[in-house]
Amino acid sequence: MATDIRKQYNEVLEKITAEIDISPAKYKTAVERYTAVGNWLNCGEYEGCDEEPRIYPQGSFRLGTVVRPIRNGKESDYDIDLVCELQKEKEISAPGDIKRDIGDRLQENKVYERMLDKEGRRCWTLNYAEEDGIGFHLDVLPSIPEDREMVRHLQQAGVNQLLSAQAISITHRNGNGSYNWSAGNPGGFADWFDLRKKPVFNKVAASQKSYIFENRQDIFESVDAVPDQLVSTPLQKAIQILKRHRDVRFAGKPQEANKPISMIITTLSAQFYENEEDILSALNNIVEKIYAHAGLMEPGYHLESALAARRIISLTTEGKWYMPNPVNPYENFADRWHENNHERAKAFFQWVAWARRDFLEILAKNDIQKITESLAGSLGERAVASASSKLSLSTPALFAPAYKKGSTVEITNPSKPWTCHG
Amino acid sequence: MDDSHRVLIETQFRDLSEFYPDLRLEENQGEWVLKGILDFSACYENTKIQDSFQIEISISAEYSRELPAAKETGGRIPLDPDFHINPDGSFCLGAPVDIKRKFAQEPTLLGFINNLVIPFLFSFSYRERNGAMPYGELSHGGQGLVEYYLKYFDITSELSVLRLIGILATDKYRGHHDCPCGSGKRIRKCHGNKVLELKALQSTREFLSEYLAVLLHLRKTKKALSNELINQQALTLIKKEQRALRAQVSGK
Repeated sequence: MATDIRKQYNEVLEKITAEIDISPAKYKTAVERYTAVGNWLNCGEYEGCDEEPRIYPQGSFRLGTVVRPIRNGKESDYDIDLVCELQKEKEISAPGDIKRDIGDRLQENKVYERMLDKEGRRCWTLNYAEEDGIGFHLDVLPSIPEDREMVRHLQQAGVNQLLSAQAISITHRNGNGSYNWSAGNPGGFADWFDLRKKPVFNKVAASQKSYIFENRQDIFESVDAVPDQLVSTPLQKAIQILKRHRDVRFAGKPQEANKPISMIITTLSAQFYENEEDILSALNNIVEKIYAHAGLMEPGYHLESALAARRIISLTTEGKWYMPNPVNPYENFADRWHENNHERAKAFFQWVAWARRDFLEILAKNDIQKITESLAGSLGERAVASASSKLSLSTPALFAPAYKKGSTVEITNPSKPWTCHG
Repeated sequence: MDDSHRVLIETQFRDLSEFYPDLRLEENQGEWVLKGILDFSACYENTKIQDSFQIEISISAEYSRELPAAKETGGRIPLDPDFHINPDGSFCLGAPVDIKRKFAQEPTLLGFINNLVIPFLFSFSYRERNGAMPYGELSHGGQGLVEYYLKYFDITSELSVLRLIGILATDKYRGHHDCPCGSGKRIRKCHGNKVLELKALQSTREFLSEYLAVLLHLRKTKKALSNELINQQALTLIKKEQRALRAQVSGK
């Protein structure tokens, strides 16, 4: 009986993930858009560059963890992140110039010129309106490769060579209009993420690609032609669920500005993930491990030694937080968590407590209907209603009305009758 | 008819019978009919009514893409447009997009009965007892559609309704165009969301026939509709349809 409910719960989570994921058609459009921008940037002439720039997506589009954005309870535009890495030596580059060169190249294109937003701190943003009303914000990130000395530092700090070799320098504009360099490694992070999902990816890729090929024979010539990007693992789905949960739970609340950032949710999930082969087990493990760190907020708390040794989230003796980027230990995701009396740390641990209650404690209800209704509150009514209407018929009717024979139908918001003729 | 469709209907019928056991399901060559007595108790704003009607609900092979049609077979409701009954006897439950929206919220046979059929019958029953409609009614034809859309878009101009439906009738939504309601804003910052919500509910063709109904109604009540207000593209599409229809009829 217990395994039955877990199985049903998993089915529901699978269906919900499909609802909050980007649709294949929309994904295809997004790829077309950023590929076109990439091609344009590729053909530009950049001072001091002999080779063509390296252009590649980063963030959720690269990792396969896109979630339909909702702002103010309504569907909103998607964010696409594109890195544009000019092949230029750092010694002969100035951040302001790199930023400007990319901006200039974009403006050379009349179409992009019109879509270009005001200069951002690190990116140039192109705003796409689309016919269905859900558009894209394409953030182009101007950058150059990191210098060799810094890459050596990273390797000495324990970062794998193949990952550290992809480190980049990003341009950052300050309040007063001057520019600095900032460190980043989206390519290395994406490869690290792929390694974390690899074992289960290898297990599920064949069957998922088969299924996709069979259902979309109009697009793919063979099973092998189905790209890896379309295969999704429980790690990716768990991240999507957690990101959507964060969006829904913080929407309109006073702490919304401090809500956990996607980078943190993604990184922690990948670090704690242990090759679980279904979403529920992945969520269970990830949420419990993160939750175990919540006690760090209390003085005298002892984090279990195995977790403490991994130093994934730790509190320093000065009362500051440390959450290193797995591909760059010098980058601390939690560097501002202590500010304003640990405002962000509190928001973060509040979120994980909610996740624990909303996903794990509801199993105690032992009733798939009640579980599904509860998920509507934490993942969004529309997504859950849509998901449950698509469930296999072996699952009993979900959202069954609460009334039984003999009880009264409550009429709310009735239609006014009409007639077509007369 | 394929098996999964049969299983879908039978499963939904099973759920329905728990609440309305006096309805039975019959099949005839891929189309289904729900027949029997609908015994219900319903409440609207502190008024409770208990009543019973003999009904027939036809479910086509296109269910649930196509909604079922309901009719009363006990002879209680006059076959009259004033009672919102179509010439074929089926209930005209509401404006087409309204019905589709309601059904989409609970797309099952039980949902259809509870959210659409029972409120309709409650309304009739209430009228029999009190002489008035409990939640109002729409006027016939194009006028009723205009009333519905004025409320849906929250505007007061009937010509704006014509323009907005014109967009849907010709599938010409462009987010950066000015909103036809005359607010001066771009449509995507104004009624765009409402238009797109409607677009998801029914086909361009269905909106085209609604556009025609609205246009005909406005022609009757307005002295003149200047040409630029009439969506030329919609008119061309309508004329094309009429020609095709005529050819079909005469060809036979």
